[in-house]
This record gives sequence, C-alpha cells and structure tokens, in this order.
Amino acid sequence: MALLEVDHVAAGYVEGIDILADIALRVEPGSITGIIGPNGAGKSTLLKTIFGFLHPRRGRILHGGREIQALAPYAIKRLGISYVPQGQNIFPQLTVEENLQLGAWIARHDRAGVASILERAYATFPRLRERRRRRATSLSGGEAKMLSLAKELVNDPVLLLVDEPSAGLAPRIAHLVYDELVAARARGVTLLLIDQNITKAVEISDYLYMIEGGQVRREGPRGHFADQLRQIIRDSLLGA
Amino acid sequence: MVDVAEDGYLLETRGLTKRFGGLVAVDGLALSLRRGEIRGVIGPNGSGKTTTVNLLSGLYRADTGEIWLQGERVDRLRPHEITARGVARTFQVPKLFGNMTVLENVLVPALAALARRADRARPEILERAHRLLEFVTLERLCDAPARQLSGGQGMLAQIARAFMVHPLHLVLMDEPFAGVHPTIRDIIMESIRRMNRDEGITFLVISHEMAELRRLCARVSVMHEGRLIAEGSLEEVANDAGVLEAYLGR
Repeated sequence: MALLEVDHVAAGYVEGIDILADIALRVEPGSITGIIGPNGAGKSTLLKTIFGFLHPRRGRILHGGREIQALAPYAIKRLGISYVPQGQNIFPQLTVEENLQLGAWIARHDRAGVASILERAYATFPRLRERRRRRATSLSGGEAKMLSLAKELVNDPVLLLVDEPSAGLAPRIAHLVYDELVAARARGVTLLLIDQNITKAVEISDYLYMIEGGQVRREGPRGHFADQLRQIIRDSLLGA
Repeated sequence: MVDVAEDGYLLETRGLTKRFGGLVAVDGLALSLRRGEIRGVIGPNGSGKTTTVNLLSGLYRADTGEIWLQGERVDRLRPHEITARGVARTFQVPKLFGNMTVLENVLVPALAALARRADRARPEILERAHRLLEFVTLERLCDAPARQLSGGQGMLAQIARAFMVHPLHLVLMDEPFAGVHPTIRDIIMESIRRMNRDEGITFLVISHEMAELRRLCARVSVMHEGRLIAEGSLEEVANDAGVLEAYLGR
C-alpha cells in the first residue's frame, strides 16, 4: 500500500478556479518522490492541500489507506507528516535552540530524548550549533533554511513534505540540504519533494511526477526522466 | 552617444546591474525593445525577471548600467517620473487601493497627471476609464471596493489602470496570467493585442505561460542568473542548448 495517495484531487483558493484540476499520485514508503513542473503548475498548492491548509473540492487524500483530506494541519502533523514550506518556517524571535526544541515538542517530557534530538540536528548542521544561542532573525537565508529543515526533521517524521529546499541557497549550502534529505531517506523517512532544480530532483528522487495546469502530465521512475529531461523541457517551453 | 530613439528602439538597457548583498540579481543586462513589439521574457525562478521590471519602472535603482527610453536616460528617475514618460506596469500580485472603488483605482494615473499639470479634459478621462473597464469586463463592478475583487479581476483592474497612463508607450507586465482563470486569460490576451494594434503600445510580458506567450510574442528573451542568455522565437530558444541547461538548473 502506498504511504500517501492523492486520489483525483481538485483544490483552489478562489471559487470557480481549480489550481489542482484532477491530480492523482502515490508516494511509496521509504522513497523520495519528486514533483517537477513550471511555475503556477500547482506544486506548492499540492503540498498545502496534503498538509490540510486547503481542503480538496473533489477527490481524496489517503495516508496508509485512511482518508485525511478533511483533517486540520495539526491533526495531520500528529500522524507524523511534516511540512517544510518554501521560504522560512521558523520563529524569528526565538533562538535557534528554542526553534529546535519546538520541533522536538512531541518528545518534550523526555529530557534526554530532546537532548539527543538536538545533538543530532547539530551534528548534521554544525553551523546551527555555532548559532544555537542566537535569535533566528540574525540567521542568513541559508542558515534559516537549515533551521527550517532541521526543525521538521528532528523527529524523523513518517512523511516529510518539502517545498523547494534549495531556492535562494548558495550551491554549497544547497548541497548540504540535499545530502540531508538523502540521509533522511536512509533513516526511513519518506519524502515528497518539490523542486525547481530539475536536475537535482531527478538525481535524488526514486519516482517523479511532472505536473502542469494542476494535472499530472508525466510520471515514471528516475531513469525514465533522466533520459528525457531535455525533451521534457523543450516541450514545456513550447507550451506543448 | 547613440540616439536611442533613432536606432528604432523604444527602450534599451546597457550593462544593467542590481545586487542584493552578495547576490547579483541582474548582471550586466543588455535588453532592447523595438517600438510596437510585444516581447516575452522567460527564465527559471530567480533569474532576475521581476528585478528587471522593478529596475525599468524605477522601483529599484540600478547599481550600475543605464536605461534609455526614447533617447533619454531614465535610470536615475523615480517611479512617478518614469510613469510620466509613458511607462506603466502591472504587478504579479495585484496592487490596488482596496478601500477605493475599482473606477477610482483606474483613475489614479489621471490624478497623477493632474498633479503634474498634464491632465486632459475631465469628460475625456472618465470616458476612457469607463471604456477600459468595459473592455476588461469590469464595468459592472466599477463602484465596488477594489478589495472585493478576485485575484483575476484585480489583474484586470491593474491592466485598465496601466492603460490610463497618458501618454503611454510601454507596459511592463509581471506574470499577468499566473493563477488566473482561462476566461480572464483570454481577456488579458485580447487587451494586450488590441492596445498594441490600435494604439501602438509596446509590451514587455514576463510569463511562465508558454502557450500564451507563443500566441502573443514573435520574440522572447530568456534570462538566467541575471543575464540575457538567448533571444528569438519560442521555437528557437526551446532548441538552444544554453536555455535547456538553464532550465535543467545547471
């Protein structure tokens, strides 16, 4: 059974306009599933809909076979689904460590557990250890992104939804972020990843969907996309 | 110095550069627009397209480089001074005065003209505003507060407002089709075509909507990492190795 199944979902923000027209996809456990597609294709809307910020107008979203499309974000979070939106998802007035402690909220009654969770986050992103007493406002864009990701990864979610992990990051930091996503998969975290960096998305994903106009236009395993990357881009540039 | 108006270009940028801290958002851009053309601008996210429009409209000041409009250097002018020279723009997320009516929003450029004593007769201004609102199918909403408009209607109101700039030579549009209902897309397409055909207005349209650009523009410019990497028809640029690499994220 798929860990997550999006079953012919339509969703949007304004009455009468479906950003997701009729989207169907599956996320297999232990995999990285990549979503690529042009701006405005509905990629970010898809993640927001899965995480409960938007409710589908039609269709179902199933997590381990159970319908979750009517649940609120906090209830979805309790199922072990975490969401790293595009941009930053941190509390700017709190310190780096306080942000990570909030990420470890579920383990808050287990002091040793929290300490080991923080230790793992710092081991992954040593830069965050150096900045642990600083307020998040003082972080650079790349550091804030690391914190945003680390805050959601500290609990090893069952499923991590990641929107544009490398947007606006220097290549060296983007590299670190991708390494961490791959490491999370190795620990058993399943990932659903949106990325504008098609090359990187194809490189780390096990299976990919290309969406356009709120619908899946192509899907297939990594190899299928790796072979046809140039043709896919050419077609989308030609509006074909 | 070359007289920009005489070499057939309405607008020309030379070495246009804008930095934000360590990031070079626009990097030595040389872009030329012929009078009366509809030019598309495409490029991956973060390639500097919106920053370019913000520079051309005076919202940002370039670190280095020049912008020439009809033979006049305009890169040190403020936004309202550039608008007074016939350059209007729309924003990706409509920026309207929410508590003013739709008609009042569309009349704002006429108000600005009044302030610089370049106004036309009041009946003429009102007549044009109503005609433009009718044209973009918002006439029935002209007395509604702009905050009540949907995203697509807000885009149409912005477009009508841009067309109220007088005199008008160039309209800069940032993602006019993004997240807009297909019916409204068609109205936007038609309004661009009609203003281009009937009034000779030049357009620079940033968009990721290739099907629309293909119908509108004979030429598109491709940006990547703040630079112009290709220019030509969509067919030409779609077969350009550098453009494919840019979209591959390399």
